[in-house]
Amino acid sequence: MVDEQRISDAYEAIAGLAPSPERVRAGIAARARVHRQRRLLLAGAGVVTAGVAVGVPLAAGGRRGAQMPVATLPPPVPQDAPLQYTPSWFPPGISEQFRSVRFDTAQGPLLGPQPRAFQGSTRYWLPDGVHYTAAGAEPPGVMLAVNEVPPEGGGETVDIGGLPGNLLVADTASVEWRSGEFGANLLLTVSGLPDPVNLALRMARSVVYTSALMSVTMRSPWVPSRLAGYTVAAVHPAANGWRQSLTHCSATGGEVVQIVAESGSVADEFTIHLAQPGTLTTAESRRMLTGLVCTAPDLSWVGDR
Amino acid sequence: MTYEEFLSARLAALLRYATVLACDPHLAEDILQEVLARAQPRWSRIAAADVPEAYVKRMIVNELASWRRRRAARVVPLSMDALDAVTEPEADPGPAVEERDAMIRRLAGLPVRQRIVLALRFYEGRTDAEIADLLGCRPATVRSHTARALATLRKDFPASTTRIGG
Repeated sequence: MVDEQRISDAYEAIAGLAPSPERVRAGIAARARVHRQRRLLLAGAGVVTAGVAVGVPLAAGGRRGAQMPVATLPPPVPQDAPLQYTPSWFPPGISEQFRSVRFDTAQGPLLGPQPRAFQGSTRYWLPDGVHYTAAGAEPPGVMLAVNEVPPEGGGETVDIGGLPGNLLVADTASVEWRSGEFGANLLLTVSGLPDPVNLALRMARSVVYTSALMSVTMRSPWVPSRLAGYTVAAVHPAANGWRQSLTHCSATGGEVVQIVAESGSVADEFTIHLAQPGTLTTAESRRMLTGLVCTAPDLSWVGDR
Repeated sequence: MTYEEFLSARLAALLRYATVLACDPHLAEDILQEVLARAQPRWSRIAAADVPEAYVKRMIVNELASWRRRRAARVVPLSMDALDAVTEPEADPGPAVEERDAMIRRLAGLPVRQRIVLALRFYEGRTDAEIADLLGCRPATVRSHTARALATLRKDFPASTTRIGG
């Protein structure tokens, strides 16, 4: 027999299976923290969602040759920026697929381990066969962010090579800590891999300082002053070869403009477009695009650990 | 009402609500954590609404529907653990318990929209108009979902069926 009481009884029984509020509340805090960190990283690393990736119709179009026309005072290209830290232990089956560096827009990247305003890096190691895509959610794999997000505390206190760290477990396992020698804020996140907590802890404990550099092969000779806070240069392999971007942000991160360069199907040809035009005027957009300096990126690190 | 005050007052009820809609406590936990984590940074605007709980409940419904779309290939309604939690404590369940457990399985097997509509009606006691408002559809659509769901349940419980719900 199907009657209202039977259905209501069944729903009451299902409701009785609800998990405890205390456990869920702890999970909400951890997940909210991950959301905040991801928002900061998305803004900083220039990762945009499909919804905002449609730029103003000012694409510079494919250009033959390795270098774009230059407007005024072109700085040399490429320029090196420090990655600063790297894991020294990796699980089998993952390799590096994404790099970005962040630096003061006016000063450019500065070498050396000393902490500098805005300077940081983000790297992704993804499982074999998984490719980084600019649009969409966090890819499965391992991310190491250096000085990209401030530590927020909370979570479970863990030991990272004798330093206190925070282990945050939500839909990802994250460890945040502060390096001993140069005081860098480090965040290592594992998502979509087996045993993420132990993996995150083991990789975090293996992180060491490195003098390795990332070659920055896009430059904007001119940036509106309101956007001259910090710049993020990112690069990763893409379907036709590579994709690199230059994201200019106000000092507070409140306003963002992103320029993307992608290799085309024809050798030595690539396109440039504004993926996030922000509040640029047409004249500003045109000036930024026509003044851009861009060469094919160095991808020799792709597939390494 | 602050975010913390809201959680203190309403989290347990929201968990029951999400569990009923999802027919799976693990999925309910996941969805509610996701919804409340997203609600926190914009709480001032949500709290400015007349009934913030209604806003959050709408987020849960939307999240459940989209979650199902995203993970339809992987999610099995009402996990075996959840079913065991209902059935295991009864060493010798009587016919009423067996029928209730069978009903739970049938409800869990309904398409997500139909299940949400039935849950809102039979657990929350909402009218068709209220459910339509929550789901962003017309009352006629709610009645259609209800009729289809009840028809499925009647098919599974053919004996001595009592006509209910339009």
